[in-house]
Amino acid sequence: MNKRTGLVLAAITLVILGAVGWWVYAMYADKADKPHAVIATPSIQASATVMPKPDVSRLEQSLNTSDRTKQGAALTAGVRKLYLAQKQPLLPAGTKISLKADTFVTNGTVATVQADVSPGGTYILHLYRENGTWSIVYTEAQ
Amino acid sequence: MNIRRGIAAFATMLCMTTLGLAATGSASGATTPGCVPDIGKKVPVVMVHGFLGKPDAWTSGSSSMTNSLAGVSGIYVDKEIIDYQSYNTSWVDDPHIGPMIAKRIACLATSSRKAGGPGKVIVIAHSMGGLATRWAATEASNASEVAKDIGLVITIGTPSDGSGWPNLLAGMSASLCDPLVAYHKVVGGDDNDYCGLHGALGALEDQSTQIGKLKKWPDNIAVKAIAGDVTIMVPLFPLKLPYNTHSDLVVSNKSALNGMKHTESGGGQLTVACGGDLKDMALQQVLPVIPNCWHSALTHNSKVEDEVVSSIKKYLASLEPGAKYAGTWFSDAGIGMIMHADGTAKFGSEKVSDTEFGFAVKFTATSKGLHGTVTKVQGNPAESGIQVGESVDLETDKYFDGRTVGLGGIHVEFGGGKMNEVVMYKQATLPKSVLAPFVGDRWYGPGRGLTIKADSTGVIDWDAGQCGGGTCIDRAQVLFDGTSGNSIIGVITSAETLTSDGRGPAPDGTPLDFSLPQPGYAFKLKVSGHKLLYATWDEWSGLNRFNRQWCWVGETYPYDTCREK
Repeated sequence: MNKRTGLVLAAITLVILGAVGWWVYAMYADKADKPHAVIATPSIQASATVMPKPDVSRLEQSLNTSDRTKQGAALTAGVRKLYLAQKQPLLPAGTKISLKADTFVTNGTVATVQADVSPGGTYILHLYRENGTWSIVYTEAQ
Repeated sequence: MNIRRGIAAFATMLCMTTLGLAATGSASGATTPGCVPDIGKKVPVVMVHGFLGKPDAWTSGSSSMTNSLAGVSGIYVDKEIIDYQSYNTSWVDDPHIGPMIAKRIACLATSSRKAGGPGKVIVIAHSMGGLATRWAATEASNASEVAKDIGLVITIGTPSDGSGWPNLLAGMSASLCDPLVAYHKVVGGDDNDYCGLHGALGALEDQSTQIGKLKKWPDNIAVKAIAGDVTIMVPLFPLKLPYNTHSDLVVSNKSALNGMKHTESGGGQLTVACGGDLKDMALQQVLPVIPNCWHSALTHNSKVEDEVVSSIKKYLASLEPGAKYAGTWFSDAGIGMIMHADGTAKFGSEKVSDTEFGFAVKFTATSKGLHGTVTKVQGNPAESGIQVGESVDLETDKYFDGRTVGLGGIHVEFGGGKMNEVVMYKQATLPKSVLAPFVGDRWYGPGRGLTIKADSTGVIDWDAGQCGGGTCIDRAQVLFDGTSGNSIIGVITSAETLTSDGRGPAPDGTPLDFSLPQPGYAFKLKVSGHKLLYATWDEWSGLNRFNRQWCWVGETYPYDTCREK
């Protein structure tokens, strides 16, 4: 299999799985981490920085409210639809969320940032840049 | 976990998946079709992989389709598994795909026939392999032959209407090509037109022109359609939000389930559901946790394998000579029959099980029905004159061709037609709750009327002198076996008396329709194709009877005139 075919096949598989939602992460995969060099996906480096204050404020305000619609504004459109379709609260009443702006790692249109959830512990928020703003795709407990 | 590790892990998953689909191997795609001399009477099974696929879709993994099929007796799994991996991005009309499949199927079917087998092939096809098989059976140069050679097709994740991508993420794309272009823009690289390179990509679009041009499965082929249904759980703080994709992540359920038919011989539908956590699917460190019902995992899914085996067994059972006729039959000639799927049958008096005399027959299939010989006679066969070695021929009775209700009629000849022949009817199976309101005597007068029994049979008993001209029923045995609106419907199984004008009774098999009393008449009995009997009489009430109006509705006595009386 030549390089070009490998790239195409990788791309096809990527879009197949990527279409499920928000797996655009794969577009920035590091070639060195792959088990076979025949898949020649270009590498794009992630970079650590500080999350812009407006983004931090907007997400914190959305998450620290009991208004489900406002909470939904912190989520990507697809996840928001899933969230609003059910009745469970995003977090128990009284929970406070504080984003750690200096843990922000961005990589094109995807990023992560840590958040202190009290009570609840620390979560990694997996973000996707949608319509010019960072929105939550899913979360991961630390 | 940092994002880079997560990204790398996901990339690993992608690579492994991709490699699983596309790794190179020895190209046996040009397998030369050749007859299989050692096939015997077993039914050949062909497996066809899909777009970007290769034969190991059926053989790899701890649970494989070939391992599952190894436990099924009566089948011959083709050792030359269809292999077009060197051309697996081409559309199905590529000479190495559809035409090659057509040749292989024809070859195997011919081998089967020559060896005394059924000459029918079972095809198990994944993804585009199902479309390629459909092309072989409808578009190939020998398509008409291939269509006859296929008995059962099991499609697994086949995009019968196209990939169904619009159903995955509304508005994202109607084609695999579009996200490929988007990918290309992001990652950079050369300027190749990937979609142009791979003809099948465009063809697999939802409702694509190419798929639209594919003809439907031929009527004779049973189709089992299997779909994967992935639900992705999205973790959101303490919540896990279910996202039902209604697809196997590549092909929508609706598209994959399209085309199923002939459930009686292994066809049907199955949706295999599974779930996966978005976090696990995207960021698993070592091995990807991909839902086991996603598109490429379906061929290794144990539920799918079980269903394939089940379908094949059902199909094999349908090939048994007596399968079509299995059950208890009766005739008005005092002879009944119990037929088993394997072609053994026992004839006797109407209640075969407690017959005082009877005989056993072993049947084999013929093009018209079954042919057998009497293998055993018990009791006193003098009445029937049946002897061991007597030939018995059975075929579907002409009177019942095209009927859609549960009744089947067969015509049995003894001694090559020189001795005796009977028309037999399978016991109707109208539910008691349906039949109950109709059961009873509906008399016009002594000896005139209709009786319906709880076993769905009945008797029409008329006075020939009152027939009123034309072809009519004087006395007839009837059998009800279905419903239509507020009526029960059935057939005349035996009409006995000639009418006064000599045109004879309604022939056996004449459909009839019986309705319960409605205002204006006691009941209504329609005899299709003949002068309608429209009976406007009431039932007896003790010794009194009321509204003894009755008439024939036909050319002479139109309905309105009749009712006015």
